[in-house]
Amino acid sequence: MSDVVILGYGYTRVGEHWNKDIIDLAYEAAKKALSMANVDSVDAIYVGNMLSEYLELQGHLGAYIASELGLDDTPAVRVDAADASGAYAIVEAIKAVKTGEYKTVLVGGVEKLTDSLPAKVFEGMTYSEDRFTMNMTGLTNAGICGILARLYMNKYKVDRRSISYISVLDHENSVNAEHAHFRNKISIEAVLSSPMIADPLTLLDTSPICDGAAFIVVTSSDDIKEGCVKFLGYGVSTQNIIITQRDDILYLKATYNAVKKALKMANLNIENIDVAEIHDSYSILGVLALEALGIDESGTAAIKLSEGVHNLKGEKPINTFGGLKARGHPLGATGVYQVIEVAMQLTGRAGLNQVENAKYGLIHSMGGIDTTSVVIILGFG
Amino acid sequence: MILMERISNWRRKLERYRLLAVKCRRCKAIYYPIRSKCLKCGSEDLEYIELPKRGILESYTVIYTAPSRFTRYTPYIVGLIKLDNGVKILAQLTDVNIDEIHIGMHVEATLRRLYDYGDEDQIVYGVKFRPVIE
Repeated sequence: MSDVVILGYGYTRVGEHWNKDIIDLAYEAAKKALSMANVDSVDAIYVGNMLSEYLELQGHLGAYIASELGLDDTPAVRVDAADASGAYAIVEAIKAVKTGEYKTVLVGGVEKLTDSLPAKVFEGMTYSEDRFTMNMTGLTNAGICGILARLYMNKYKVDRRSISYISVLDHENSVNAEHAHFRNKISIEAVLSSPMIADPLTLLDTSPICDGAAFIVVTSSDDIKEGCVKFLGYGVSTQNIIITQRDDILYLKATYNAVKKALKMANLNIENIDVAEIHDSYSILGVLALEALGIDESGTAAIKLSEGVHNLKGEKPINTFGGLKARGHPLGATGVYQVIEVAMQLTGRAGLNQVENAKYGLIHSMGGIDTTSVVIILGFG
Repeated sequence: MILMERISNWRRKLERYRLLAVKCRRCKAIYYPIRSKCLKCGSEDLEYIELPKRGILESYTVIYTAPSRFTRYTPYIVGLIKLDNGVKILAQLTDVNIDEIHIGMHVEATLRRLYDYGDEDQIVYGVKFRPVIE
């Protein structure tokens, strides 16, 4: 089977695009990706999205994007795995190229959230969980994370403050990220004193409501000898959507299983990974993900974050363009931004945020509270 | 959307109002909300049981930013409760001030107003938990 490489990428800035429809965002990013890849047509299109019917009253995004690009007769489909949709779409594209079914595929994600009131967006985000529980309790996804944060603090005797250093890290790294939603530094005190969202988590523990689209063109490496970003491995896993029925709520089992599969395929250990983009839609999820991925040991990630281990200049840099908190979390597009950011690191295009000698990179994307998890490993060569 | 919710809530009324769960006849594992198949042993031979109405608070959050139908009730408390038979449930807490909540407190189920339908002013009830007064 062939190696799969990235031929081009494109994205919009993450943020509030009040003058752009969902299809405009997708078009802008897809066009840039096709232009960088220097191709006029592709064999298929995959697009990740979570909430377009609910918030934008628009479905059938695969065909819509194909038709907007003038690519009639191209097979095109939307992939849905909640906020892991974009990463999942990329996995589907890699599989299609790897098996030889398609040669060149356009794959990306798009999300348009800022047309709606926050309460409606939060409602939509709860659709990644089981409806019965969310409707019975009035929980938000942030609320579930508040419960997790308190469990974590109790279990590992970690103070409230340590949970939030990942938000500070994200904002530090987004200052130089041109596509990031927020480009300002924040202090740990600012996180702790920002308005409460779901106790103990505050506004600055949570990723913002934003719009964005990101696309890549992938192709088989048969004709390309060197100098490309390659997909070395991927893993997808799911687990019980009803979190109260999980054996250990603090153990992100799907993340653990996804990374195990991805590392095995790539024939690497987690210690080999030089740069990682972690799904930290809520600060505590970033902490738990670092542990489930095996980057940090159980109960230590919050402390490691507070010590700077995961800062840009630290031992194990993560979220090098701001993560979900500061680059932003346009749900179904997020995984694609992560892949592009790792590709930029591996090709020395990360500017002031460049991690020196980055050879292998990893992205981690979650649908809901680890109900789906996707891990993709990339390398340069 | 509201109609859909009403239909679905009606279908699952015993789970909602009586805390009906399923128990595996083979390996005795209990599931709430109910499911079709035992996750431990794979059996589909499940029987309905009512959950105990008392438990201990394991964790909680206070919701300040709520989804659409709950916005007028903020702030409200949602707890993770371990019932007396070990089954875990998420539910709102009531009859308690935020500063009185502590992990490990004993709580019991009670039927309360959960939210209402904005345009039609119809009330939806649900199970909440309150502190046990010894």
